[in-house]
Amino acid sequence: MQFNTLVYLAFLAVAVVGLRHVPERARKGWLVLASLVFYASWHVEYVALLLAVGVVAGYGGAYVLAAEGRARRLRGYAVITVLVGILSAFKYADWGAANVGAVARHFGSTWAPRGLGWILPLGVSFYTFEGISYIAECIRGKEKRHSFLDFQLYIAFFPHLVAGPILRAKELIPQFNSPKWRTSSSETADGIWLLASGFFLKNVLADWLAPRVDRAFAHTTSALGAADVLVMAVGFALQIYFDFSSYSRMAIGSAKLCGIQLVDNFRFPFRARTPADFWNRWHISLSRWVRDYLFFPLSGRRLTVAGACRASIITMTLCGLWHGAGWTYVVWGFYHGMLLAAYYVGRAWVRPAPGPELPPPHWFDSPAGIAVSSALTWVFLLPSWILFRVPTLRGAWDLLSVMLTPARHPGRTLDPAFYLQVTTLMCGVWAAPFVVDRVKKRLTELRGQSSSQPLVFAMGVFTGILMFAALAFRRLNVNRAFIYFQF
Amino acid sequence: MKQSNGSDGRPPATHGDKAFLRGFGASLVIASAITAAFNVVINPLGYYPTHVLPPLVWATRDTKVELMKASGPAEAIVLGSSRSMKIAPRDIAREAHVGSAFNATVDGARVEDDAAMLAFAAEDLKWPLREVVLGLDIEAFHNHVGVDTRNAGCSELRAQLPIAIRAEVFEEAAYAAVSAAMTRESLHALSLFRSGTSEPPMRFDADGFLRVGTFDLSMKPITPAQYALATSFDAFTGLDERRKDMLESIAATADRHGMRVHAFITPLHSGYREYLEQTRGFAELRRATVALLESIAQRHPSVTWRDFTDARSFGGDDSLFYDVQHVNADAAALIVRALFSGVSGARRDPPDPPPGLARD
Repeated sequence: MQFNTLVYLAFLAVAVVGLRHVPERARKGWLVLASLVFYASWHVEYVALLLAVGVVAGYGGAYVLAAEGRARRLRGYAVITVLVGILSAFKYADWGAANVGAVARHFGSTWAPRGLGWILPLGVSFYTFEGISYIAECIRGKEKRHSFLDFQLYIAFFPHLVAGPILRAKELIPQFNSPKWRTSSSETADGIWLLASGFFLKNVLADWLAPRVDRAFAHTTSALGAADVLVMAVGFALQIYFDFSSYSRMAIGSAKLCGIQLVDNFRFPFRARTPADFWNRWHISLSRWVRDYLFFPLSGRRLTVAGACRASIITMTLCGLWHGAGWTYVVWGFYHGMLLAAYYVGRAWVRPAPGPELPPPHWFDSPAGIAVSSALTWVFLLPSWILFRVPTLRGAWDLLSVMLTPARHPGRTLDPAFYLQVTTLMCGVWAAPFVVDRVKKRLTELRGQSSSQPLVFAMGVFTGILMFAALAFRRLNVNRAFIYFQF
Repeated sequence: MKQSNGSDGRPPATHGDKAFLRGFGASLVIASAITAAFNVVINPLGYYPTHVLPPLVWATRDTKVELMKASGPAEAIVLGSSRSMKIAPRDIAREAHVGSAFNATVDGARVEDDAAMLAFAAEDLKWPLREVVLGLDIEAFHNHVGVDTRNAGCSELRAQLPIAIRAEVFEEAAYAAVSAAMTRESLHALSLFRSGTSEPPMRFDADGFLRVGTFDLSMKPITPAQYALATSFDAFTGLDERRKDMLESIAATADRHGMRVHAFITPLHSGYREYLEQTRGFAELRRATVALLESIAQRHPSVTWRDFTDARSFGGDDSLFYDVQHVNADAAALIVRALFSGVSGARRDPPDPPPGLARD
C-alpha cells in the first residue's frame, strides 16, 4: 500500500475517521491496529518482525534503565547488538557472504558461503534505527520506560513506518499521551495540503522524470559525453528529491491528520551552501540520527578539526552502508565523509577556531558568496549522485571518468529536451524557497481573519485542484515504488 | 465531529480553516465527478461496462474470448501478444500433429494475460490442450508496468487473475476514469463519432488467426522513427518477481494437465534490437529472460524454450517484419517450424538451437 495510491487514501480515511470516533482509551490501540494492517499489506509475515523489534527495543530499554553506570552501558550495548544483528541478518548477510566468497575465490579457494536469502523487509532500516535511538537515550539516562502499547505505536505508527522520518521515542510517545491529542480543522487543513502537494510531487514530477532518467542511465557509457553524464546526475538528484521529499510530505501530512506532529525531513536542499549545510537540509531525520549517535561519540568531547574529519568519514561511510548492502553505497558514504572533512579543514583554514559550529565569515553571506557556495557545493555533490544511482562500482567509475574528462568526451547523445527539462526543474527547485516562504508567511497572516475567507477558500480550491491534477496526471499502469522503500 | 472552541485543548478552528476545507472538498469532488462521468460514459478504451460509443482500441480480449467460446475445443493454443498474432493455428496443427489449434494472443499481453488465457481455456472451457505455444515479449516481465486495465472489461479473463491483481485492475480503472490520458482518448472518440469516421477493423479468423491487423493496413518502410516504440522499455530495470511466478504457474498448469509448453522469445528487428541494447539495457534484460526460461525448463519437464530475438535464429531475416517488432505470416510459419521441428507427438528433448542463440 503505497502513499500515492487510492487504496492508501481510502485506508487513511478509515484510520482518521476511526481515530476520531473510537473512545479515547482505545485510540492508541486503534492506531497500532491500523499500522499493523498497513504493514501487513506488503508482507504479512514480517509483521512478526516489526513486533519483535518493538519487543526487543521496548523491553530492552527497560532492562537497560534498570541498571546504573557501567552495567547500564553494557546492557545497552548488548541490546543494540541484538538490534544491529536483526538488521544485518536481513540486510547484509547475503552481501557479506558474496564478498567472503569473492575473497576466497581470489585466493584460489572454492569455498562459497551461502547467504540467508531473506527478502529485505520494508522499512526495517528505519524502525530498527528508532529502536537503537531509544536504547542509546536509555544509556544516557534521557529516556524512561514506556508501556508496551506506547512503544509499539512509536515503532509502528504507519505514517513514518516504512521510510521515516526517523523519530525519537520522546518526540512521539508524549504526543500519544497528551491530553491535547486531538485533531483540529487547522491541522486537517495543513495535513491535506501536505498530502496533496506530496501526491503532486510524486505522481506528476518524480514519476514523470523517472523514466527519462532511467532512459538516460540505460545508455552504454561509450555513447555518452561529459555533459550527458552531468545532466544525468542532476536529473537523478531531482528525481530522488521529488520522490523522497514527496514521501516525507505525505508521511507528515498523514500524521497531522491523526493529530501527530512529525519532524521535517527536507528543507530546500538545493540551496545548500556547504556539504554540512546539505546534510542539515537533506534527509534531516537521518542526519540528526547519525550526528547524535555516531558523529558526536566518534569525534570526542573536544571537537578538534582532526576529530571532526575522522568522525565525518567514519560516520558517513556507515551511513552509506545503511542505505544499502553494496560497495557503491559504501563509496558514496565515504565520498560524503571526505567532502565534510574537506569542508571542516577549509573552514578552519579560513577562520581558525575550534569546533564546527563557527559562524561563517561575512563574505560568505553576500549574494556572490551565496551563489558561489551553492554552485560549488552542487558541483562537488554531483559524483555522489552517480554513485548512488549506478549499481556497480565499475559502472559508476566509467560514468565518472566520462564526466570528469569533458575534453575527451565532448559529444552529446541525450535528447536536448532532457537537458531543457532538467535545467527548468533545477531552476524551479532553486527558486522554490523564495516563493514558498512568501506564500507561507501570507497564509499564516490570513488564517483566522474572517475578512480573508474568500482567499483561503481559493487556497482550498487550489489544493483540491492540485490533488486532482496529481490523480489525473499519474502515469497509468505504471507501478513505481518510492526509491527509499528499498532501504 | 464536534467543533472545538479552544477550551478543550484543541486549537480553535478558524473561519479560514473551514473555508479551506470547503474549497478543497468541493473542487476535488466536482472535478473528479465530472471527469469520471464523462470518461465512463464515453469509455474509449473499453475499461467499463458502458458501450455508448465503439471503443478506440482493439478489444482483443473480448473478441478472442467470444471466438473461443464459439469454436470447438482445441488441442493446441497460442498465447502471447500482438507479436504472435500472425502464428497460424493450422501450421501448429500440422506441425504438432493435433486436431485443431487456436490463436488466443491478445494485444499488450504480459505474463499474467497468458496465464489467465490458459486457465480460461483449460479450466473454464475444458479444452483438451496438449500443446501450448507461448510467445514471450521481454517486456512481458516489465517490473514497473502494472496489469493491463483492459482486463477490467473482460469478465472471463478477469476472473482468472489472482485476487491481488484483480484489485489492481479495478484500482487502475478508477484512476483511469479521472486521468488526463483517458479524457484525451474520450475527446478523440467523441470527435471520431461526430465526424462519422472510425478506426479500421481488425479481423480475426474463427481460429483466432489475425487475418487483417493494424500493421497490414499501415505498412511503411522501417525507419529509426519507429524506434519510438522503445518507450515500452522505459523504467524496465529487471524482471518482475510476480510475473516470474506467473510464468512458473503456467508451467505448473501445463505439468498438471499433461501439456507441453513451447516458449519462445519474440523476434525484434535487428536495428531496433541494437538501438535497445544501446539505450535501454536490453542485453541484460534478454540475458535475465533467457536465464529464467532456462531455470523453468530445468524444473518443469513440460517446458522447452527458444530465443528467437534474432530472426536468423529461426531462419528468418529483417525483411519479414511489418514494423520493428511485428513479424509477418511467413516469419510466423518459420517460427512454428523451428519450434516443432522433429516433434512426433511424444514428449521429447528440447530442439537443437540455431547457432549461438539458444539454450545451453
